[in-house]
Amino acid sequence: MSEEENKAHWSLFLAGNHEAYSWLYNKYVQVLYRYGQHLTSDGEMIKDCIQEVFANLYRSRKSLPTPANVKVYLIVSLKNSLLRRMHRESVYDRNKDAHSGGFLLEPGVEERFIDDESQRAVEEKIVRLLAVLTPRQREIMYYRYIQEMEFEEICSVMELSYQSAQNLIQRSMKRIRESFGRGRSD
Amino acid sequence: MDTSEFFKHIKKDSALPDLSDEERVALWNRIVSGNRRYDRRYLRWSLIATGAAASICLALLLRQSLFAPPEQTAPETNYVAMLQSVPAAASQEVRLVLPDKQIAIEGKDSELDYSREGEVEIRSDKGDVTKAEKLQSAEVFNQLVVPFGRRSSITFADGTQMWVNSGSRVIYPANFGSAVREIFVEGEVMLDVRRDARRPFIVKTRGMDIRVMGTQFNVSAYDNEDVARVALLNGKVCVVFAEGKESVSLSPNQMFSYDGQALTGEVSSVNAEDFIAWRDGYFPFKMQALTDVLRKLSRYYNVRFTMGEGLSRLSCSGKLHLNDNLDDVLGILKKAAPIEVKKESDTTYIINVKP
Repeated sequence: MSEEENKAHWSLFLAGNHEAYSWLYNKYVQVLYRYGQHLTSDGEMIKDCIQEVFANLYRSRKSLPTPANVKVYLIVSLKNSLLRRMHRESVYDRNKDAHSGGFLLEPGVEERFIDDESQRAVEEKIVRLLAVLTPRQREIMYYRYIQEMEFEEICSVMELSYQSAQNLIQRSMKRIRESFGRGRSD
Repeated sequence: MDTSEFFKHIKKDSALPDLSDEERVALWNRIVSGNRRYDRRYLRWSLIATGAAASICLALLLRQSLFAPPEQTAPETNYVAMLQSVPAAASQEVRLVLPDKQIAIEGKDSELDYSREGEVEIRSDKGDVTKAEKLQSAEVFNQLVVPFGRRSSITFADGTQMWVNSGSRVIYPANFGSAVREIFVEGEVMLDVRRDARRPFIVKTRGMDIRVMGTQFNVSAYDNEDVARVALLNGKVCVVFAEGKESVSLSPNQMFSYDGQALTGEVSSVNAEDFIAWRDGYFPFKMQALTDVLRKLSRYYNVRFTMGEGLSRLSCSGKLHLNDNLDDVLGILKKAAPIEVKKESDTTYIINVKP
């Protein structure tokens, strides 16, 4: 599953090969669907936007370049599509907030916590820590430490300069450390 | 807990719910049909813009020339529609179908030779029929129709050679583009593909796509047979099947048998030479059901066999030379298996198990 293979399929797709198009879809649809869940809990909206991403690829295949990283390219496309959609819906429906919760992260259940009590304690702590971070901070932490993206890639997904991305990471880490400190003195 | 551990307690993407298989396939179908609608809309607009009224046939050609850069194959070429646009005429001759005309080629065996300039030279075993046909641009498709009882072969401009067996049709562009070399096959062909790393060669059938770089292999994909087969002599091929969702790679002397109804296939070891012997004018049989052998012969000689009960239980081994006339071939078969042959007419035979 090398990036070379992705690019080979990408250029076959640009040349009009239908199987390469379907290969790209099958390889990335679940990655995109999971990613979408960080931006909204509306699964149907995520599906609509994935459709939009692949439809746009098809329509502009004559003029598309081959991206440096196919996955990052698709993630950026989905993010833009979802944000546009959420913005549109917030304009027409005042009850819906635009991107209300911001970037969503949840505590994860690790198997080694067999003890319910301590598991709940950890989860509560994670929820508190996540609440301390701004949506942008949660988002950059996710790209850096969960998706393990390169800085350049983070910059393109978040439309940040290299320096701003660095600063945002530093501030986020500081925030987390401070909260840990407070947690201990409780 | 410290900062590094913090991230360990955040739900990984792998723990988030996936789309179910049904949802994933449904979403893909939505994408593909949306694209198709888009193509149609786009096509209509350009037709209005140029003020042209066109038949569906012309529209298909336009779609290729307007929306695909000339050196690339148009996406999702509708080969089946092209097959259906050329009816199986009463003609017993091999036919080369060009966009503006058809050329009938007499004789049992014929050769077509394409030059880089897009010219085709046709040679037939029936005398010295040599024609040089000037062809159109690369986007134009040619269709070769080989009826039962006839055979043909094509040398493409890139040097790739193809032998086309009886009862087969092949669709290919007059000249391959610079991105891919793609042809469509219904029936049986043997290919000797000239290696070209920058232009993969793709053989499409109704159920499979076979991708190759440079290799020799045989494809048998008759519409009236349940199982399609790809047998590889040398090199490497990748077969994509089950509507593009699955694929398998073959090594030399492996055969892939594909059931287009069940969308399932399996790989077995074979002597691939056996599968291309028809090219050289003989059929080798190894413990093969007599009904299979007769079906092949009926295709090759363009005759009908009425097969009696119990024939499918008989099998035979050996080699049949196909340059002999059919009565001689059946005479040899009679020595190998306990059967009776009754000739009803020149084209119908009744075969029964000897009582």
